[in-house]
Amino acid sequence: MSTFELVQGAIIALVVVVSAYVAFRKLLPKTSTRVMARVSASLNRPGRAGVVRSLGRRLQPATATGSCGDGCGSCGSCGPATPKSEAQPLHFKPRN
Amino acid sequence: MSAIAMRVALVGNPNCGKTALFNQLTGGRQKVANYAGVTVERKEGRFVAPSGRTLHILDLPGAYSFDATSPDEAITRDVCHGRYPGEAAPDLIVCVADATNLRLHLRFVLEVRRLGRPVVLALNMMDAARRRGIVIDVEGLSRRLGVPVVETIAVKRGGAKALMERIDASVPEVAPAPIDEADVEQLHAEVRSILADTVKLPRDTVALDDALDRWALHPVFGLAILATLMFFIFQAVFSWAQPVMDGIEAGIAALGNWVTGFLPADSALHSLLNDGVFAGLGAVLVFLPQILILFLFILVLEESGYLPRAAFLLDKMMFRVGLTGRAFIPLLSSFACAIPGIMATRSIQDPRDRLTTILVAPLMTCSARLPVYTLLIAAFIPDHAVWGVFNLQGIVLFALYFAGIFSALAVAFVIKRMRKDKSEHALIMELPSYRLPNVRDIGLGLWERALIFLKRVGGIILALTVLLWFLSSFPGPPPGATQPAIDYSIAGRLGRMLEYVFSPIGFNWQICVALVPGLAAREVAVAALGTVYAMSGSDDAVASQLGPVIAHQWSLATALSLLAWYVFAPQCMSTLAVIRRETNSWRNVAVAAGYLFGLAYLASLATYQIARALT
Repeated sequence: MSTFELVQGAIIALVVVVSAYVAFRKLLPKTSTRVMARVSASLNRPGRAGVVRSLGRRLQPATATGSCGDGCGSCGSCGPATPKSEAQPLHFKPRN
Repeated sequence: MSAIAMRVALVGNPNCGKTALFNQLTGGRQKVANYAGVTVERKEGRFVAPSGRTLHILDLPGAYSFDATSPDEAITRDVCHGRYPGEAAPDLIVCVADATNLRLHLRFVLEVRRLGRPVVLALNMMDAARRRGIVIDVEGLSRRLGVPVVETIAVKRGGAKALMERIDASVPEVAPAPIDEADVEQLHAEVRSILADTVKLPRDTVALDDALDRWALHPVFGLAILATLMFFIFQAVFSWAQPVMDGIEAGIAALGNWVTGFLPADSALHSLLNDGVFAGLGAVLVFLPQILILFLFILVLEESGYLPRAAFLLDKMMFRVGLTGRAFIPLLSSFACAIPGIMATRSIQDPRDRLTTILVAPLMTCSARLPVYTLLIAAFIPDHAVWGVFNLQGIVLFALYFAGIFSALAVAFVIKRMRKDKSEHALIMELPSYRLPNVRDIGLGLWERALIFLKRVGGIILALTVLLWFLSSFPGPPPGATQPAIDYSIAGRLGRMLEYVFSPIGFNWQICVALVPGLAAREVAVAALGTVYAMSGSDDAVASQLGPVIAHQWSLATALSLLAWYVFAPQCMSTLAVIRRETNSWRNVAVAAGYLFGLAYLASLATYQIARALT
């Protein structure tokens, strides 16, 4: 395998992995946060090497922010995801 | 009152300029428009006052009173009363009132004053009040209310300076006024008394508004004006954008050639850049001018104050099909994106009306569908003039938007029939004064839309395009293979499998492949088509010329069928996620996705079979 093919393979692998990560974060924000939290906790365990623990801390996710900017259309008005306490789901009462 | 991080809440009637003031104070860029119900969530920002202390500013949804009738009003009530979960009561309430309409707004000011918390009254839109000859005795008003009163012009730079200084100064505690909470009449009497003492109003309404409304609200001319406006918008989307689109297309092609020129033509990296990035992203990027032209009109209409008039005009028709007039604004917001539209349904009081609106909102043609529509229209509909004035492509685009609206009304009618609803909900909606749109605000709005679109192109669309390229490239063809490499790849095989389901509606395997990433966001389908066709063909021109390629390879029946598919298909997971959040029910998500997919398939089947029979 030539040097060009080696470098090419590495670049493509990196680009594909990063793309998969971005898509995962954008499309499944909650699941990705959960998974990242687990991975981060696993890497950041006492007894691990300093570099691994540092990587674990870096991977510690912030709060999930799935918003309209991630999914549909070109909206920019709904801002960040509504916290659970602010969601206003429908409540039905029987008609009189 | 805390010296650090004081919490300040902006409250007031809808459309009095709270969010514009919030933006002035915090440097934020929250959406503002000239109609009630733009803000349905609590927004938080902060700014550092001249004294050096940090202030947290809360922008709350508009409310006419603390007797909340809709979910968004309930947020304002709960925050002001200190009952909002996880949030302390504000240290200071800035009650914003429209200076041109104090007769309406002062009632809520009196209610806020009764809370017994520090209050500042911001008399907003003072410039408009002066223009109308309204004279307000600010000192006298402050004395009568017992709270500091400042003048503001939220849409003017520096128009909130007096308010900033007032907030920064200490505000005395206000004792609750001795009024029985239930006595609304007493509140109205007090408003009348205060107005008589402190405000000189030459005329109740603006003469120009009355003159314009005689036409805009006319049952016949009003509808004709609305239809003409809509028609003109879609004509402009096609006619005005073309030169810029051609420029972008040429630019992308030149950049693609230059970048890939450094790489061996048969290398995987060349394919990734040429077939993946440039073919995929280039196919989507060219639609930026059309999206901006559409938003230019939406922003101008929002700023002008015309939209509530349109809601008033259409209320009767909307009521007949089971929608409330209040559904107009959420449905209109859905033309930009269904997500803010669905969230805007919080201003609808009746939960059944709200659910109906949520279920039909995805049928409104969101801007993400525009690239798909225009790609197919440009490829299959001739660019002919109709009656020497109109553009045939613009007429087809108008028809597609109209098909979405008509479908929404039809679905709402069916839902009304199914739930046997005979209740009536009168539309009570404030008609704001007409306003000339501010060029700077429109420019900023367009700039933000462009950034959002470019971020999406550089974010989720790029990521999915790269993944699709990967799935279209691997595994590679076996030795001695005669077909294009994509035929042996994962994506190619998946497309062939899906083709069994979609061939009755005329979709080939390439379209089937594009439908899958299109589930994430509709415009990804265009990028995916660009990539799939670039991978299928040997001609590099595909990278920048998707339209001619599909025009050559598809039948007219297939193109029309795909257009019909996109009128209905709920190919946006975020919309379904928001339906889940707003209705708290997976059942409603299943209903929405099920009926939209069902309608999409049936409409495409009928379109394809009829078109094939006729052509």
